[in-house]
Amino acid sequence: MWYKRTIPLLIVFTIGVLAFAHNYVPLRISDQFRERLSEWFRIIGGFALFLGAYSLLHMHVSRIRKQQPGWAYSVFVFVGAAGMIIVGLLNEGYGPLRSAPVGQPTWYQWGYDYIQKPCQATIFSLLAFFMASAAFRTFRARNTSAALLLASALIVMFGRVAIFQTVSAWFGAQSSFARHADGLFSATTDAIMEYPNLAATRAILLGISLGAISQSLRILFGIERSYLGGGD
Amino acid sequence: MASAKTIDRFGGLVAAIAIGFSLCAAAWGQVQPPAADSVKVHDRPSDDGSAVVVEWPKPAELPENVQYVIEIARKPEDFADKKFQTIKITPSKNLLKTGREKYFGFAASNQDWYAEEVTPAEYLKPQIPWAFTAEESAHLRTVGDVAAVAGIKDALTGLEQWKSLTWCVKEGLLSEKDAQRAWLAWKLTERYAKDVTAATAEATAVQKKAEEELEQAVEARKQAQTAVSQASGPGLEQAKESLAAAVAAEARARAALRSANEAARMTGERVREGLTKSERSDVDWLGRLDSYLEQAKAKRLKKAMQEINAGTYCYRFGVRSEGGETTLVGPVGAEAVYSGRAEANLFRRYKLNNLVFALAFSGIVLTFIQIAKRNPNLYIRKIAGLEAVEEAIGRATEMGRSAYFVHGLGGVSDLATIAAINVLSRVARRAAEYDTRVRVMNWEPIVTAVSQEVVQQAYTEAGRPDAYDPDDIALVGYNQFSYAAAVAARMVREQPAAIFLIGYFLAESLLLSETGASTGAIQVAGTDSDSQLPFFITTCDYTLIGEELYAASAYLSREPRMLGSLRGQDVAKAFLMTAMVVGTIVFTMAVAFGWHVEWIKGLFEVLD
Repeated sequence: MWYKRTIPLLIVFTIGVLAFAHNYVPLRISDQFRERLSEWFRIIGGFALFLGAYSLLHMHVSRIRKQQPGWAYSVFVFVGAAGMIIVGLLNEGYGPLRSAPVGQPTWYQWGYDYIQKPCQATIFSLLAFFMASAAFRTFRARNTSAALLLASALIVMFGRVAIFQTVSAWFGAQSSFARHADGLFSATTDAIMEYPNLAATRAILLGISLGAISQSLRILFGIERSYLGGGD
Repeated sequence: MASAKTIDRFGGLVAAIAIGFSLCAAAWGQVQPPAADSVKVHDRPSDDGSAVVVEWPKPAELPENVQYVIEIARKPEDFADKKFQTIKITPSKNLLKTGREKYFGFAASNQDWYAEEVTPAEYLKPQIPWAFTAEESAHLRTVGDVAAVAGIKDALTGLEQWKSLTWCVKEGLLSEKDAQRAWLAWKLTERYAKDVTAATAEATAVQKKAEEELEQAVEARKQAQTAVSQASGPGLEQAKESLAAAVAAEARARAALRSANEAARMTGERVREGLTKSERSDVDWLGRLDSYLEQAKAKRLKKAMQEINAGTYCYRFGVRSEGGETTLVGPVGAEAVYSGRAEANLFRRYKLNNLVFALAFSGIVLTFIQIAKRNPNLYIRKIAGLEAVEEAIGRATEMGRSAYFVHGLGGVSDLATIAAINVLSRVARRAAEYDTRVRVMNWEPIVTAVSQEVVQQAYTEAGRPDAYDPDDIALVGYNQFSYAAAVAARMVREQPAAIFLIGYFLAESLLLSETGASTGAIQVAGTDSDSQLPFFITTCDYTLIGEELYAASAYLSREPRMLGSLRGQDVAKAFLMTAMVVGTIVFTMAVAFGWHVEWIKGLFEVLD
């Protein structure tokens, strides 16, 4: 058991204390230690990528084999992965060990630019609809707190978009009332964001910092061991 | 006449002296050099030994039209031999020590001093071993002139390269064989570069000719179009034929320009194709070798600079007038020479307050851990989100559906992810006991591997190792929105009964939680990303806000020592809240009664 528990805990304690000390010791050896640690981390990350790829492909093989609901989508994973691997290896005839000349369009880049990026943008754009539906649900004034939330949300929205001037501009009017109303909303918005909002954010950050210290101590002293695989 | 001349001469002398004095006064302004014993040279505190500090008293007013001067030399005799470097400093507010609390602290007396940080290696530059010495350079200039006359343009560069390679062999960076190969490869690269230049010039000429031909073809087509529009009768057919021929010629010219452009773009590659396989390999190898040697040289240079910075050097201090005259501190002919040495310090003094608070909070937490060992029945306030974990897994069991655990975008070194892994361990164990499947959605390969280990162990400890399926803990995407799409799609298809969104999240938080809400699953979220908390609060049934995420594992375990750490955390928070309230009162009263309490602010200042 000592090699599964004691040695990892000793490593955690030693590295943790050294990393803590690094913050306070300006010696060059301290910086070198930190650099070396991050190098190791990058190397381990490189190997872990193979494990990740294996995990992904193995899961989809299982889905196809067991014909689970939506297994056909898993086929696309293989089609996409195989397509990108093949065009990446062929590399416009230059092979996997040589780079194509700078500026030459490649199928690999084409796949990234015209398939992956638009797909990502599509998913990201869904956020606008989700935000609207979440806002609609949240801003229903069911009780006093929700009503306050709705009021402050409306003030912040109006303060951010200069609503009165925009509306009066639609009718071709330059109303001083609209300017003053927008100014009032803008000032109220700033006050809401700078005082109650900032105070709440800082309170949360303060709690997070203390929680982080507390968790670090539990890990450093071997009180918290769940990350080693179960058990207390 | 004679006496009049004498008087004139005397008058001229007096006038000259008066003008001299007034010029001096104008040049000096109101600034006098400080007293010799008021100038200090010492190690810059709290650093890695890279600089010394020269400090001197600040005059009553910001001086104008003058500069302060610091002279640095390796030994005192160098000043007489003019072997020193001069640092000129224009007085400004930035010179104030108060702008550099990192090194000098927050003392009010800092207002009385100017300070300049001097890094010796910036002035006493290290000898770069592979560069030519002054004598060699002079000789090479002659060689270079001769070479230039003879048309050998790269003679000097070649010698520089050869010397650099020789130095690399001497320093053990390169074997002699590799140096020889590098030299040959370098010469080959030079030839290759010349060939590329020649081929590029040729391709550019072809491009230009193709462009001209296209212009002519376009012009001919326009004329043909005009002719068609003006023609009638029998001439119309002939004009149409001419237009068709002009259009075809234009198309040919465009194709020729396209192929010329393509040829110009591929010039380098075409020339490269002309090399043999071994030559191409040599050129590529040289590229990699150059990069390696550059790094090695930079490392040596850095080391040489560090060695210089560690030395003891001599300094003189003075004031330079607008006219360019420098008056040094100390008696004329025996100016004061100060010596100073930069030393590596063991401690960043400006982080002392940070260390004290870190140790104090650690002490509080560790004390309560000890107390909890003796008294396991500590009261810990209820956290609704964590009470709901049991409910969520129970619901999934009753419905016969799976529970989802989504890690978010944190890496394994993020505290939020470590906290999430700890929660996963508890959730997986409870799910294993209830015979409910937990599917873990990962974004990062290392987190995937750790999660697999943690869940497997949890199943083993629950006595159900056979129920563990590694495919349930998989990497589902390696990109933010691919990940979001994969997780959201699986939620919609598989309709889980419970979803745990715990870890570090960015813009995908709302995509995931809103999709989860649409499936009707009970959702428990937890993150320390304050920008995403509003989205989770809006869409999830329970949300662990910030610190509650870190407390989750301890809370769920009910282990006394872990609970003790939570109580310690709450006590530390109470202390901070008290400090904030007291601080607000004290500073408000300080404004009202004119108290000087800036030092209290300094106690809490964070410097990085």
